[in-house]
Amino acid sequence: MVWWAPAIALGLSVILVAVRRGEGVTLTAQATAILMAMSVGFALDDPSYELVAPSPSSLLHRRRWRVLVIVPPTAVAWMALVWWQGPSDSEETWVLAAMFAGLVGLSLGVAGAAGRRSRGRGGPVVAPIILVALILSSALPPRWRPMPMGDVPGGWSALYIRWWSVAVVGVLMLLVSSRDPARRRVLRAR
Amino acid sequence: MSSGPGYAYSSRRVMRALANFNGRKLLVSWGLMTAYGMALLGTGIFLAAAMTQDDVSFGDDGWTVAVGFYMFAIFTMVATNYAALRDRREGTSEQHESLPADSRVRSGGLVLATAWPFIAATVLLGVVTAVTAVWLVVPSGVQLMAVIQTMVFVATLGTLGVALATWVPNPFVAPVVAFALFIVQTPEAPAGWHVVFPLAHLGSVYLAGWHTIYLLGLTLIFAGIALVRSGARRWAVAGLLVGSVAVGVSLAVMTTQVCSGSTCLF
Repeated sequence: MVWWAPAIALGLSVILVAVRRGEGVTLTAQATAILMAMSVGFALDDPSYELVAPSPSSLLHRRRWRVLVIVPPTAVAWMALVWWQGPSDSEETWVLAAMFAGLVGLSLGVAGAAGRRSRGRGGPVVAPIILVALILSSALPPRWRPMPMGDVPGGWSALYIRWWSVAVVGVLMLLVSSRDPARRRVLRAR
Repeated sequence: MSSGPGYAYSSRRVMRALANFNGRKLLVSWGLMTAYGMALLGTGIFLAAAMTQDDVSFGDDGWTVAVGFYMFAIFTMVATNYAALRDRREGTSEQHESLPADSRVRSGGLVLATAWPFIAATVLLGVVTAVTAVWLVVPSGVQLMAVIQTMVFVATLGTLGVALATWVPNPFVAPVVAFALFIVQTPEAPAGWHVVFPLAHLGSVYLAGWHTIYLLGLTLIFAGIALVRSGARRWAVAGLLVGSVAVGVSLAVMTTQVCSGSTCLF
């Protein structure tokens, strides 16, 4: 199990929050959310991807355990960091949580899709893709931004909808990329 | 007794061959493809503004080009780091240890391979600058120095990617550094120490020249750090020393001259 990436991300996030405590809660929470979401993608990295491919345990089953082991502790750690910063507005906290969920979903989806094409080593491409997605989103006018880091027309509800949509798209990518590769080949042979 | 010079000649040839091989692979890697995309996005926004608006200038509106190539440099670092970690990722380190080309030669090949993205950035920025000069207005001396700094910055971050891979062989480190470079901003209140920021835009050709020397010094330091990991060689240590002197002297000159009173040349 790849623990070092979330551990590095958590360590850096703690330092970031400690340094910036009391100033710019939103910016710090966004930075720590991006950092920790980037690390979650490494959870799906599996050096034994090809060795265990023919085992009765399916790819989806193996990935599900990896996600269950990594994502809940990471989410708890991130929420503890947000709580430590002391956000003033509960609405803002929930939007930040939606953003964290969206980024984690995207991270898992990208890692799953990339891992399928790179023999179980999709982690390294997650961070660049998240950064590119955020840059491209910021280059669009606010009303069209799929991953908004600031205010958009429509207020809180628009932010919720967009970030939860990103999360759903990410999870769907993960599910589609976790189909059993061997089963696909059998169906094609027919 | 004649094997020494012969071996050195052979090592240089192998290093050059590895640099060309790795460099060509880098140019078509996903990291560099993303880098081209970022550079083209920044350039495209500037060109679109130039076509649709009046009084567009390189000085006021060219920042999108600068940001695009800043991202180019960041993704070059990610790409060189990913390339330098290939042996570790594929589990071929031990196989390569058995080859006649030792680890110093292989590291040298990786460091020299960063010349290829540097050339790509130079060509792209050269075209953008030439088009701007013909179409809008000839960039000023300070603006040309900013363009040169951006080219050198690609080489700086390229060698940083290799140095990170040799000393901290962990695929999560380069993305974290990339993220830090992505979010880092020069503080609004100007101060002399802001010259340490890699793309600090200095308002005089003289100081911008020193800032270019600073970036070249950093490039030599990162290259030296990457090379001494597999055993200190005279030229690697010399590179480290020359780079350290260049960084030290340039920082001393810039920090003492960039601000006079409350006015800074940023």
